[in-house]
Amino acid sequence: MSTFRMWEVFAKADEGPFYKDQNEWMVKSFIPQMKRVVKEHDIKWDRKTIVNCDDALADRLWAAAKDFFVSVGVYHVDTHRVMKFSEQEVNEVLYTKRPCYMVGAGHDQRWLRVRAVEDREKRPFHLFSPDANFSTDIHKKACMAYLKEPLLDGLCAPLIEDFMGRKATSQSPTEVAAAMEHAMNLRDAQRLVGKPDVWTVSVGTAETDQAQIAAANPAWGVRPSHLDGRMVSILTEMTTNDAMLNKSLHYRSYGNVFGNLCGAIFGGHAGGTEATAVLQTAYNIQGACLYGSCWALNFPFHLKWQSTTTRELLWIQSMLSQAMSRNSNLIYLNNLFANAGPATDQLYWECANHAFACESSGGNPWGAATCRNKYTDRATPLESRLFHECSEASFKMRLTRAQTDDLCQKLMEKYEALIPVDNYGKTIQEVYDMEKITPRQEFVDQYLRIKDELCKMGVQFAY
Amino acid sequence: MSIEKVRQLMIDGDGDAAVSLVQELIAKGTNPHDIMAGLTDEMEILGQKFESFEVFLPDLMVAGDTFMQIMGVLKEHLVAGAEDKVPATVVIGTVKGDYHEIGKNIVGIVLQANGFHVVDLGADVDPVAYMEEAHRSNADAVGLSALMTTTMPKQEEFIKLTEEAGKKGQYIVCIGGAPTSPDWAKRIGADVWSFDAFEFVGKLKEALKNRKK
Ligand code: B12
Repeated sequence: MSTFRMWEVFAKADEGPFYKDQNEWMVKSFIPQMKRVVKEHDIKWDRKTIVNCDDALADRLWAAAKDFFVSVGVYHVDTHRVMKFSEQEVNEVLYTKRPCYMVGAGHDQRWLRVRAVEDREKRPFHLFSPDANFSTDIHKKACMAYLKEPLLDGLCAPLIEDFMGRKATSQSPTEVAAAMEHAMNLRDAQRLVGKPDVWTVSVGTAETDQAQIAAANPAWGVRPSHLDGRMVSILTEMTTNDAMLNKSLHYRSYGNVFGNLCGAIFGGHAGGTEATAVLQTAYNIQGACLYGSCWALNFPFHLKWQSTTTRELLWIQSMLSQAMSRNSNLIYLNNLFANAGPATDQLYWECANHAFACESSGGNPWGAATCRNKYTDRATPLESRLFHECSEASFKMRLTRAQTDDLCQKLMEKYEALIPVDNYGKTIQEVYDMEKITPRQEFVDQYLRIKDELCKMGVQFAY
Repeated sequence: MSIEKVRQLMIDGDGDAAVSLVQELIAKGTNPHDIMAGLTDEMEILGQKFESFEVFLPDLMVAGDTFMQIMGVLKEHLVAGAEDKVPATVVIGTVKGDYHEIGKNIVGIVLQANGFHVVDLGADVDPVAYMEEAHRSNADAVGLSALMTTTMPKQEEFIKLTEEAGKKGQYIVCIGGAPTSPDWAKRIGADVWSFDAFEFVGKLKEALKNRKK
């Protein structure tokens, strides 16, 4: 069951405790409760480990996250009320949550599911996503380029910026139309590369609830039920609003296997590494209780660098994965934001490290976003390919957490000092021949060289 | 020594204890301006520590909240002879259609830590609402945050509106957010653009100085 008491939950937005503004709630409830749970549940990081091997710590993190969510609830910015969930309600959601969904159809059908720590049976779900804007003129081709990737199980396509020569502007007809165009391009692209029924998480271009609703159409747009995925965000930190509740209502009534998009900020309202891990884990519980979402996309990121590949962020991803895989049925994916850009060696090392840090902890890879997740046309399928190949290799080799921590420490040495540098590489038009939709030879050579280096470090790729 | 204690209570977020200690100090004759200067220094130090990740946002928020509580008491003692110290008022918000608030919140917190009076309109703010609030609070500057290419045009719309309403030049128009750039700021006629909150404080102070001349 994914539609947990939807209307009882919506009613909480009108009935919960009132706080004049978010800041007051932060200072009076969120911050002191966070300090309390980190201390009481003894959540500690040694500032070095990347992949956690301490099961008891993972279990304490889960307990802390649940405690925090029940104590704090969700601030609704439109009604200024806190939507609180009792432990009983949370337990009901956690118990009734489905551990797997069949997504996509025909020959593109896949299982999206909870994996175990050091899972020996269930391979990771490979969700490809540049998480970036692409120019409108190459949008469809860029979708095709990603869809061509051999390991792809699902796609979250690039966004478009313009509609008929005008900037797509939020809440205006241009946003609605750009969202529709995005959905149409994607359908075309899927048919043209022979993957018509791939599960796509659609459509990122639709920022508002109305644009999401407008892009939903079984004939030409976002398809209902298990055929497509959608996303609804948790606003930072631990807040929501009516537009988000509207999205969740629409996704549920349309039947989609939809997810919750959540990214706690390291250095932000939660504070340091340990608290960010608690908050990020709590977000997965929040999504299931508040929106009834079927899965969550985790992107805890660094306030300064806006990336997920720093040492503390990789530890957070590994921790939250283990906390959830060991203690719940919640399905989740681990989102990569790299610091560097396409065709840089640094980007490849970051992708590899993120993949290894998550797979043995039970994670599912979602990526790869580049250049601190904010530049148009600066992402290509090549770095996503390496990201997913590394995740698959980790699974095929049945790497243990201790082994991956070793490997991750070595990979971290290759780029840790470079994180503050703006190394944004090349655009997709430079790396790919956009007519043939294939990578140019010099970049294929670079890709193979990186793979060779990884092999020398002991990685055995699946093929 | 006791001002030191107030500084510590502010960092700890113990508003009640800080307020009663401040009252005691003033009754005993401590100059309120010295207390104020001590607290402002402490906030500045906290701001620097935040920049280097020695402390985090919650520490700044808790201290900022206590600072405001203490200010409630200090205010009445500070007025005499301190008109030139009236802090500049900045209205901030994230533009219409955009719910990305973190960057804007940090801008607000850092401005406050540097002694500015900040009115935060939240996210999804209509251009007209900025204008009305700027008028109501007699603002010295307005800061518009936009995190998406689809919401950047709202910054331009605000500037156009102020021109049409004949309010151009009444306050400094500042813009920011990840997809914005100095070029964009120039193109739409914004007065100040900044890469981040820390750089912004310096640039805004500079702009305010030039404006007074
Ligand atoms: C966190 C985040 C979210 C969170 C936001 C939580 C919140 N309440 O704030 C959530 C999950 C809710 C979210 C939702 C969405 N997001 Co978002 N998000 C981000 C992300 C990863 C980081 C933004 C951030 O907080 N950075 C950290 C802060 C500290 O940095 P900052 O905001 O840049 O602020 C600093 C400076 O810019 C400057 N500054 C900021 N404002 C101002 C103002 C002034 C006056 C000045 C001087 C300076 C200044 O100072 C700040 C501090 O030093 C960005 C990617 C990115 N790298 O920017 C995507 C991003 C902005 N999101 C994006 C998208 C598409 C969305 C969604 C539409 C997704 C979806 N399909 O549902 C929704 C949009 C909902 C809406 N209508 O707003 C896209 C935007 C693409 C575009 N069109 O341009 C981005 C770029 C990701 C991407 N590459 O695809 N997102």
